[in-house]
Amino acid sequence: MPDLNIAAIAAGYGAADVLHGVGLDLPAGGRVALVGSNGAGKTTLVKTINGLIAARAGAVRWDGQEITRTRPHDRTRLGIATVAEGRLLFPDCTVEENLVAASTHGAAKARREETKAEVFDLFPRLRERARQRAGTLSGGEQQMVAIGRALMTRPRLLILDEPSIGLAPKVVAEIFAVLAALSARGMSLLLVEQNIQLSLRSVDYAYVLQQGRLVLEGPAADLLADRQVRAAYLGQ
Amino acid sequence: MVTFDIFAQAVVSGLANGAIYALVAVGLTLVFGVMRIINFAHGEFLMIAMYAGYFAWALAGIDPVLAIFIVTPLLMLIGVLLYDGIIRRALAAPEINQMAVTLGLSLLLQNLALMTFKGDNLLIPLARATESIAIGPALLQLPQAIAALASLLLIAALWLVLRLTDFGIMMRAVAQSRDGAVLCGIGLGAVYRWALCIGIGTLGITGPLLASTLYVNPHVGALFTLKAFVIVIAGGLGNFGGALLGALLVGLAESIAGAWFSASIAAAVPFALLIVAMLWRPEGLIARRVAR
Ligand SMILES: Nc1ncnc2c1ncn2[C@@H]1O[C@H](COP(=O)(O)OP(=O)(O)O)[C@@H](O)[C@H]1O
Ligand SMILES: [Mg+2]
Repeated sequence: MPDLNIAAIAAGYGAADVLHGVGLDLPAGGRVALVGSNGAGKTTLVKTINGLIAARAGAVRWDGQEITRTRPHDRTRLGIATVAEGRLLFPDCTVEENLVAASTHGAAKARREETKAEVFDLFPRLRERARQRAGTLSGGEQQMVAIGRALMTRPRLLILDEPSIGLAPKVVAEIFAVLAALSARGMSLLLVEQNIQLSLRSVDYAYVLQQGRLVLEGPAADLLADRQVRAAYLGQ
Repeated sequence: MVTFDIFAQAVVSGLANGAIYALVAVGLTLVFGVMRIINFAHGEFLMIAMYAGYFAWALAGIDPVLAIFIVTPLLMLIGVLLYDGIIRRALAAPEINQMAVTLGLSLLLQNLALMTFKGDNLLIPLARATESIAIGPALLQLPQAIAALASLLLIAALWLVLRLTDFGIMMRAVAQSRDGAVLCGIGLGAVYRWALCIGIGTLGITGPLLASTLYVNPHVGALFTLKAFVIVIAGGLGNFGGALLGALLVGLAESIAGAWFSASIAAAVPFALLIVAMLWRPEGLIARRVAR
């Protein structure tokens, strides 16, 4: 039984249908990538998982429980954290306040200081910048705040929507090293990326989304190795 | 000619008025910042608080300073009921409909007040109204000084709450990114309810104190709503420090114009200021340095 199970999801905006029956499984502690070109519907799928938009059909199950109609903040409290596209930080709040804002409920609140220390150990630069306003940080540092903030909710699954976009290779390497460390501690990862090489190297299994439909899935190593696949779907 | 003494008097009265405007504006800007709803009925809740203060004194002889402790919880409750009864339902509607709802509520409350209390001007005539504090060459009536001081204290308290408590950080988070806040596990409904509870509740302090320096009538709120809007827009919508600065400026400008020219010109000053502020700094007096 997978930890996260998405079945036949349809979703869209207004009159536009974006996703047409998408399914995806993620085992506990697993690392899965969702790749596809710009506009394929990746972010839309992320939003149906975290609840920011409602699925029009299909089901989202988490930990054996159906959460298709669960409100988004409750999904976060159930252990699904999202590092959203565009980060959605609180720019006028300090780094520390951004972290506090994500730990105002239940266990996350009780363990706030402990988690904050863990986040600062993962991203030592954030400790230095703790009292600085998030909006004044560099892009890489903001992405670290976004990941740190997601971790403050004490998730079991971390969804990252384009975490490498617009960042220097050195910063990307730093962030992916942290993701590897989190994965080694048992965190489930759902990585959404346009940077296909990078994401396929960081995960066990991958799904390829094209115009709202899954066109391919398989172990990441196989997809990377298959020249035909790379030519057809991965734009290489 | 305006002498120095008259000028000093205008400055002192202006700052005292400005402090009171600030508290009214802060409630409005808090609600807007968090909920993105423009509450045109804000002034009517001030009007209700003033009547409550007046009747606490007229019927039970309760001093306005003590009435605060009754009227504030009442206004907070009204804020919660307003959220659950009306605003929550309006949130999903387009902005223009939300405006129609709060504008309609404003007119409804004014007319209900007119039916209930008639159009008479009521005032709490306190003994201490004849006492004044000397500030340099200027004098400030004691009730006005108390109202100004209470406003500044409350603004400071609110500022601390917004900075230091989880609850304050949650409200600021929602104000800055709704989706970001939701993904942090913050429930919007609870935060909205509290924002209205506090935003309306602050008027429970202003109302009774104001009822001893200003006539209460069913339309008294509309004037404050208008000024509070000028202040909130000039200060940058949702911006706390901007509202405080804007309020003191409006109070000062009004009072100095009144001393220099006439009361009717003074009444036009806040709106002239708004136009100047919009042309000069459309993003508000204290611009946010944020890169979105
Ligand atoms: N808020 C929105 N309103 C309307 N259409 C949208 C919205 N967000 C995305 N879309 C459309 O949905 C499609 C998929 O977008 P998205 O899920 O963001 O793709 P991806 O993340 O793969 O780049 C695109 O055609 C996009 O234009
Ligand atoms: Mg996207």
